[in-house]
Amino acid sequence: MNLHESDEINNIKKAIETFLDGIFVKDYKKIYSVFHKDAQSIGYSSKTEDIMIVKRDHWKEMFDEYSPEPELVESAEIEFIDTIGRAAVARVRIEQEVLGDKRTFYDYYSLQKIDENWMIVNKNFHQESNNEIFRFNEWIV
Amino acid sequence: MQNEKEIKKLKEALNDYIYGAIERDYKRIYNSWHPDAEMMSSNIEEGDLKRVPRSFWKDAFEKNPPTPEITRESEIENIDIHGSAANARIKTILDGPEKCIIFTDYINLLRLGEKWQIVNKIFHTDVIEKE
Repeated sequence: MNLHESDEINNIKKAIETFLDGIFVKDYKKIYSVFHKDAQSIGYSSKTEDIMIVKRDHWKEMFDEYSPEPELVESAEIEFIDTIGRAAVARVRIEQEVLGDKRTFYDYYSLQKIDENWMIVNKNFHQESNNEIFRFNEWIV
Repeated sequence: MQNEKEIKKLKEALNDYIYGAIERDYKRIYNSWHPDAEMMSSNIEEGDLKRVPRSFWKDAFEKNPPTPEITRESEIENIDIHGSAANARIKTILDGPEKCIIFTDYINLLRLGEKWQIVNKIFHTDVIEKE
């Protein structure tokens, strides 16, 4: 890996960390700064047996109605980043726990370098939990 | 180790895209391409994000005649699966008499029931001009 690639990896990492920070501190402006206005978050719903798609306003609406959950413990780890030119992909594992109920998200972020900034332009995810009836509201992440 | 059965199913979806593009068969592409899936790219000239719906393929095959002087080959370089979500990297080389174009795709997929569907593609393009 040359110096340029290493710099780009760091810039990609910073964009993802800004997004995750926005999720954790419930600050939609941080999310908006790195999640492109046309980007979508896409997952599979076993309830509807179809994909569910949300745009970035989802987080703003959710945070507006959010009531703090003091027992909530959240953590995230960027597990890999792969990039070529102005495109990149990253896998992130997000773990949440409330009073013994655990939920894990495996997210794939697609990023594009637009002007000089790396932006998340798509996100898809898989969700696992140890309890069918979860204590969280739907769609925390 | 990733589930071999899931990888096989996921490869079937990717091959619908790969061979649909080679055979100019948009129906085969649509078979594994979710109706809402988009292709996205950015380049220095255009600045912002360029988004293309899956109907791009149908339009392209109907409007443009075949180009037998250009060969198209694709290789799946990586597959990563977690439960119902996955990402794949595909390299495609379009080799013609004047230039060679290399596309690198990062493809997001979701498993809907027993079938994998492409839900998004981003790509990077390299162009090599020939003498």
